[in-house]
Amino acid sequence: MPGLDNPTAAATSGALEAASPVSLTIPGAPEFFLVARMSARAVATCLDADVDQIEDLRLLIDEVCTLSGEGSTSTSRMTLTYSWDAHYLEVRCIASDVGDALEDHESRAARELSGMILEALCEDFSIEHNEHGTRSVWFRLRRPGT
Amino acid sequence: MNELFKASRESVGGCEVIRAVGEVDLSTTSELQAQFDALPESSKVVVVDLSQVTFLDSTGLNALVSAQKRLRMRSDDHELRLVVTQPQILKVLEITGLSDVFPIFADVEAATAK
Repeated sequence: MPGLDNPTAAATSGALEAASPVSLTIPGAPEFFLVARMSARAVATCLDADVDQIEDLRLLIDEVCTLSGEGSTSTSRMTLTYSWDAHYLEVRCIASDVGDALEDHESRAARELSGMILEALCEDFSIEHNEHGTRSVWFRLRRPGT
Repeated sequence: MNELFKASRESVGGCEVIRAVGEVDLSTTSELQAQFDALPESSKVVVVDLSQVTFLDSTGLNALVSAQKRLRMRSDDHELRLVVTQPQILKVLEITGLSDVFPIFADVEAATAK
């Protein structure tokens, strides 16, 4: 793989094919969503995404963090995993130690808006509520920069 | 104090103008909500200046929608207007259909003049 023996050359040439997947684990607290958005910017930039694509990915990542982290506690963790090939970028966010999502009107309205954003910006997405306090949100979109 | 987001309010031409600066997400929406909660009961037209907001997610959108509903519950002629200049903010309003719900202006002067 070009650049693997020379990290500087790899970084400057954008030779990042070997970098997929990229994972980031953060606490489930909303204060850390900024870090998740920063990871989105980094991944999108590495894929030669344009400004609009970077902003779209930042928004998507924030939404999956918000959705998967509903009912977070002080022990909750989220792991974001970006993986890509020549055609698609996929992201999975798995939140652990999360409680049930709130079912009040405000929470449902916010989830509906999240769903509209995901619907508009990705090709496919899913939300899975698993047992043992784990929630997973996945989406796929056409690889930015292509 | 949140370094990611700041909001302030002032009266301009009979309108209440909330100026928001920074990123609106789940961790900062409460500060925007606090501005809505502190609005005088007499507020008829509320302008939210989002021209310096660089990120707005579903939680921020929901706060705007809730504020609009609360204003409309007082009277049909009460209104929440937005000032939007950033393309990414306009885009999220468009894809959620909210660009048809809120009157959108290019600057505060135009939003308070109507």
